[in-house]
Amino acid sequence: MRPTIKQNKIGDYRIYFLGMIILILSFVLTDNFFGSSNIKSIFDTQACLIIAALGFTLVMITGELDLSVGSVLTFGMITFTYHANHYGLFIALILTCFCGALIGSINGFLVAKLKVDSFITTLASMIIVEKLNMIITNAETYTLSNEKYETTMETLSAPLLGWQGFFLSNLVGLVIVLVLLTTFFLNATRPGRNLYLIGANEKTAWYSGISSDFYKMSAFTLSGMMAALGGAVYVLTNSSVNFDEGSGSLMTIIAAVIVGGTSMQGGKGSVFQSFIAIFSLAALIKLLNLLEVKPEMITITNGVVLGSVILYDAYLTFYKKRIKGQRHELLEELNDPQHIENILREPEELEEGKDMQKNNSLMIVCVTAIACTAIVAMMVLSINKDKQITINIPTHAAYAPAPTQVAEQATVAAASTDPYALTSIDGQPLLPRTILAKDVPSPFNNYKTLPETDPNRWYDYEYGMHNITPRNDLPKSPSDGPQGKKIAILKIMDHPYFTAGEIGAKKAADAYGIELKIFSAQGKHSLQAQQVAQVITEKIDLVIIQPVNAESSVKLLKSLHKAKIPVIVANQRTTPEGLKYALCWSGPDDWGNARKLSHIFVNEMGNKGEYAIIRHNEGNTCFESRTWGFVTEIAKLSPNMKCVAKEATKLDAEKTRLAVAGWLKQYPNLKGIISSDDGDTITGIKQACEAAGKTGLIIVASGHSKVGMDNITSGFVNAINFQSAETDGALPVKLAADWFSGKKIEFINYLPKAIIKKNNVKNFYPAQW
Amino acid sequence: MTDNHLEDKRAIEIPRWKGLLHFLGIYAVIIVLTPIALIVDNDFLTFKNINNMLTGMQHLLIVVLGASFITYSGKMADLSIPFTMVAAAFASVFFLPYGLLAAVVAAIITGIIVGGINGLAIGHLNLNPIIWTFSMNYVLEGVLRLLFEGRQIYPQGPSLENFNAIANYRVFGFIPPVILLAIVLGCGLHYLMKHSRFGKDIKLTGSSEEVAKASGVNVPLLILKVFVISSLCTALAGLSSASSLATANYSLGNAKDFDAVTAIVLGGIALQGGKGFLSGAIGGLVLITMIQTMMSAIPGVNNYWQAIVKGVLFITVVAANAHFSRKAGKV
Repeated sequence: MRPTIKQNKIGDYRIYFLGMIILILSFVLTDNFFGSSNIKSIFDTQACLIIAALGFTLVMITGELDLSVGSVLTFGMITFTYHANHYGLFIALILTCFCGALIGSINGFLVAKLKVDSFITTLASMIIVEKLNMIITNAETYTLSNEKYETTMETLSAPLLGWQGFFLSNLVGLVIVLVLLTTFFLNATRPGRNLYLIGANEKTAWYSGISSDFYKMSAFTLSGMMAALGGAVYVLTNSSVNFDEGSGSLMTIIAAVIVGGTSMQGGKGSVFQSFIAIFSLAALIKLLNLLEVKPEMITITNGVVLGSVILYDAYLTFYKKRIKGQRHELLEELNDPQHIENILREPEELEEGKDMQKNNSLMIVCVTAIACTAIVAMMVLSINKDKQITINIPTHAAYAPAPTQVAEQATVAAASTDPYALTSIDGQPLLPRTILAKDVPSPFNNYKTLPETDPNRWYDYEYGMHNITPRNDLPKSPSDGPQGKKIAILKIMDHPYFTAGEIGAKKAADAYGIELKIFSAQGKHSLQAQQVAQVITEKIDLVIIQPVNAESSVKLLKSLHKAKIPVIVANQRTTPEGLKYALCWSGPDDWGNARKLSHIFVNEMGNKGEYAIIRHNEGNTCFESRTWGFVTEIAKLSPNMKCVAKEATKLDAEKTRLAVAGWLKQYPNLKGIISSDDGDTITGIKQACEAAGKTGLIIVASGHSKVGMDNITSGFVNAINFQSAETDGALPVKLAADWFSGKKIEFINYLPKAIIKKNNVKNFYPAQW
Repeated sequence: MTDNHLEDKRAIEIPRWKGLLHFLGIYAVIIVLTPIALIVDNDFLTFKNINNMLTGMQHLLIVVLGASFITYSGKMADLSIPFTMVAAAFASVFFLPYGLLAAVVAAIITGIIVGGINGLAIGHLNLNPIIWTFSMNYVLEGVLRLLFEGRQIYPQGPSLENFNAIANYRVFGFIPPVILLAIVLGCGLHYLMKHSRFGKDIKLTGSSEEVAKASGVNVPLLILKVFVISSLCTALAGLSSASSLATANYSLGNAKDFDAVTAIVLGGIALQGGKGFLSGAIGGLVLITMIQTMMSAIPGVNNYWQAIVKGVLFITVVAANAHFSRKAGKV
């Protein structure tokens, strides 16, 4: 037996096998996987990752790790967008490559010259570049200016060389050319092959006269440059970018490159295989999406795939070490049973042979067992989605039964009951009977020159959605009622608030007889784009979308409109231009809530004093409303009150505690704090106040989670505002049902408002989330 | 006075002050920084402020105590710290209705399980620790979100008061109980690291795994134990975090892995392994907390700059470390 050679063959070309398996599985398990939009969307979203993976493979071949690719990718996106808007495409491209190369060269210098471990260097640079991104963009979304580049972008997205229906766009064609060039460089040129040598055995490379320092530095520089270039490519297909757009890409790139056969010790690898690997992994995830596997399983899959591949790699290394120096012919003789009988005199050698065999097969069995268990578990857990493995969180007597029980009750009292009789967990009505209209003042122009405390400065944010006239070519209602319709909800992320929203949506859907399909974009626009593409290929009657990114969502809304699928936008904002393509918008009235809360706040503060604001996350819809809504309303009600500080603390308890502790020192006359969220931030404020011994601060917060309500009960927080998560999820479903029945629906639908103080907090228990 | 040639023939003459510097390690930097801190913030050394700082670093302190072992043994870092903390938080809050002891035991068991998996994979199968723990982080996240349906859970039950007291009670008015636990744990772990056979074996493994294997140290078992210790400490930190936040949510552990590694590296425990003291890691953490507190007392500096300063500090120390060890010939 010659196990080595056979194993090597499989080991080297495993990615092709894997790719084939995935393609075959997708063909068998779904019917329209090869529909052009599916494959096209995969290529479009992964083009940037392919380029970054090229650079990453180069670095891995030399035996080092580059963890900063994700951050440099985002950095490239931001740089490219900014400079393309101001200076032109070509200059932007050159500048982006230069900046990426600069970062890469710093990494390379540290690794090659100062001999710092590459993991540490690139981990540090990843964090530094990430923070830099946040500071540079000031947390705004950067958009590529449409007028200049619309034609360029369209040419790039057009099918390759005009072959209609083909799944490669021009841009992807360019990317593939780059991949082929790099493969050629690595395999056919001397510098390329030197890289392999350096990775395989650095000492030998050094003695052969190859300056490994220079090569390593170049590999890192190239990696940085390609990551930045990938960012530029992303912007060309997506046209707008957030500061954390590339956050999940590190995992994908690492997984793909390692699965693709590049060894972590270096000396082995191929960029072409990395390219195939990225495509295969993306296809696998797409396949799982199509099979309606839950999003958490996809996260697990990522980890499991990576884990099993490095397990396999380790096994291979172990195996190679074991058989190092062995001679196959002798081994063969030992395994021959005839031969064994003839050498009965030397039992030790026999046992050694058997031991080695046993060890090998043990490893094989272990790896196979783990892989099989993982796959079986995935399938079981994914199929079991109806009979969920729910954990009945044991509840205290004061608390209502577990949510699943309440949902069942709502289902039992299903199609025959009045949907308005449904309640959320806390006993509040799930659906409002009437939608409160809002007084909209006339539009205001030239607002940029106004001071920040003037409410008209924020007119666009506050009333921008109201002044839109929807298009007249939106889909018409079928007027045959909501029974049996399929609605897809594209959630923005997995947060307990949105999970509660899901519960509310399910209750309403069950009451109307609607079938729901829920996706989570995990906070990434690229995922949401893929989900939109998937929804278009299926027979969905209506889409409820929570846009991840306001500017980028316009493209998604346009494509849904083209596919004649009606859309309702929920909870998050989209641009006024995008909202034209929607039937209506539903969600919390952040500005109205902020203003209402400000009245209470000013009251409690006695119309005077200094206050500070803990802001929400940048890029979130309520970032502006929960800062400037407060500031402008308080300035109107009580000009004596001064906002001395505002800081965004990522809604993290520790950061909030630090910020507030600093404020308590810098502003000893601080009288009140307004918080944009009532969860961990309140805990942070409380800890800071307790540490400093400061009591009697007036605290109000937005939102009503359990932590906030408990603090109202204990008296630390004066007031919070009611924002029913379940209604946030259920209201769009009701609007959809009304639309299906042909009823007229309002364009802007705000959730009911209420202020929760100590005297009425009991009505809102148990907390929805 | 005996004419002892050996006494005079010291290979290298180390000036007194360098020896002191070497002895103090990171604490020298802290001592230098304290007057600057006093200038920036007048009541830096008051009980209030120390309470402030101790509150901030209590959870991370326990993590650092455990994670130092991993770095000391040469396995660089454990990137699964964030979701190990979250897993322990969820486990303990879930079992709190059955009593405080049940909650603590649940957290400990979670830590042992996760540490065991990590240790087996990295010790026996020799996988790359960074990539394995990186994947483990993702897998833990997915599993937790699946098990708990994406919700966050709140502590309830008859032992609620005691649970909250873990993070919120103050001994003598300014010492959190977690710090006391950390002191006890720290003493125990320091003894383990420096004076026990186990600790010396770890040092050997960190310096050179080949030599350790050849000397008869059972390296896979050793790595398993190291990871179990570390995950155990992380789990306890998760428990105290859950107590502090009065909830178990998925963002408990954000960035804790990088913060822990920064503290350890700043404190003199080299990433290659085999060097440094546990007290150094604690000193590193104190330094980071001091810098964070100082920076937050300056108006206008928001928390992004704090993160950048941490990152720059990290890379400077590591680069300097690597440079000087290269110069000294011990690459």
